[in-house]
Amino acid sequence: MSRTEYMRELDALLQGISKEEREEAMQYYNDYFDDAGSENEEKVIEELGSPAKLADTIRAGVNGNTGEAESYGEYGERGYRDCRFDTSESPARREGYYEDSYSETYGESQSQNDRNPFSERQYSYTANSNQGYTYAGNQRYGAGQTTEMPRKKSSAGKIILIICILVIGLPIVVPTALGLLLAAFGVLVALAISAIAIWVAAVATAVVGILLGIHGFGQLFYSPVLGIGMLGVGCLLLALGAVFTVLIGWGCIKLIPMMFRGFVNLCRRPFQKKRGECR
Amino acid sequence: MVFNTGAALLDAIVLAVVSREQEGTYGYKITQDVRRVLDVSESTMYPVLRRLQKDECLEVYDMQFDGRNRRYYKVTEKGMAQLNLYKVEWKNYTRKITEMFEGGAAE
Repeated sequence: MSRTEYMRELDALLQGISKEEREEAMQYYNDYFDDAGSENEEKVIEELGSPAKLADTIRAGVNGNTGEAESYGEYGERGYRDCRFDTSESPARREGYYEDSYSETYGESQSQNDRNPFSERQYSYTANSNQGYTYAGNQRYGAGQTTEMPRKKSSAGKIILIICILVIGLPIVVPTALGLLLAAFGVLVALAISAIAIWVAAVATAVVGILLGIHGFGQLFYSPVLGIGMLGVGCLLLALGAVFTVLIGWGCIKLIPMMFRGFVNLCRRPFQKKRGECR
Repeated sequence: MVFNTGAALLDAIVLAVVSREQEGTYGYKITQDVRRVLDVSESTMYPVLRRLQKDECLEVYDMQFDGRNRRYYKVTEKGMAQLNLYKVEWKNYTRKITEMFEGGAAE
């Protein structure tokens, strides 16, 4: 890139700031190139960094003079620094730095071992620092002053979205859940009642069997065939009734509490899950 | 350098560099002079000069040089006062740190 191209690009990138500031900066850097001499042109371009980076620095300076950003940012030896995004200044805080931003900063700048550890998070525009590091610093700086607001907005947006979902979903979700619960409860009650009914029937069968047996025993003397038949049927019914009574009784004792426990667990699950996530 | 150079120290150094030239000096020379003591990037100087100019610590004027206009910077009275304040502060600061390092007069 030649000086002319560099300056043209810089001018284009400075469109965002006032005309006065832009002309001032353009004059300064034109002078700078003139004074450096044409033989140093390439060196100067390399030193200044990309036009975008230089424009960022100039713009940050302009904002720093007019806005409240001044209280946060400062120009240091390594370029622009903003204390809001600078957490690694003191060695005491470096533990957090290595944990939190390993992937963001350290990861992008693999070859910074030769640099001193105190300047890793600074916003460097030093051209002789390695490319990865400079890029990481610049990117963070560039994003610095603008990312604060959208982040807040997005969290507010999330809350609004959740409320919307709740408001829209409530009339659907609540009746559905209630219906499902009632249905499950109904099925359980029906099962329990039918179990009880079968049990009653079994008991009744046994009772009928006993009565039939007694009656058959009485009939034995008048009509032996009928008597024996009734006795036999009575014994059979008694056996059947007894077996069913025992079976269903056992089933009820074991199954019904199991079913209810399952039902209660089903009701409790959503709350338990939430608690589990918190833990 | 291991130690960070804060905005105030950078201001002080720039003011000191500019104040050495009675007739004022220009951006490129200021940058080269400052870079003799500090490893600052060339792009750092412009915002600092611009800020000092806005704070009325520096004044600018254009002068013909080599058939073109060159912008010169000169320290104002306010700038001199500021520089003297910085010098006093720096003396106190470095004295305390030196004392601390060398374990001398610790009360």
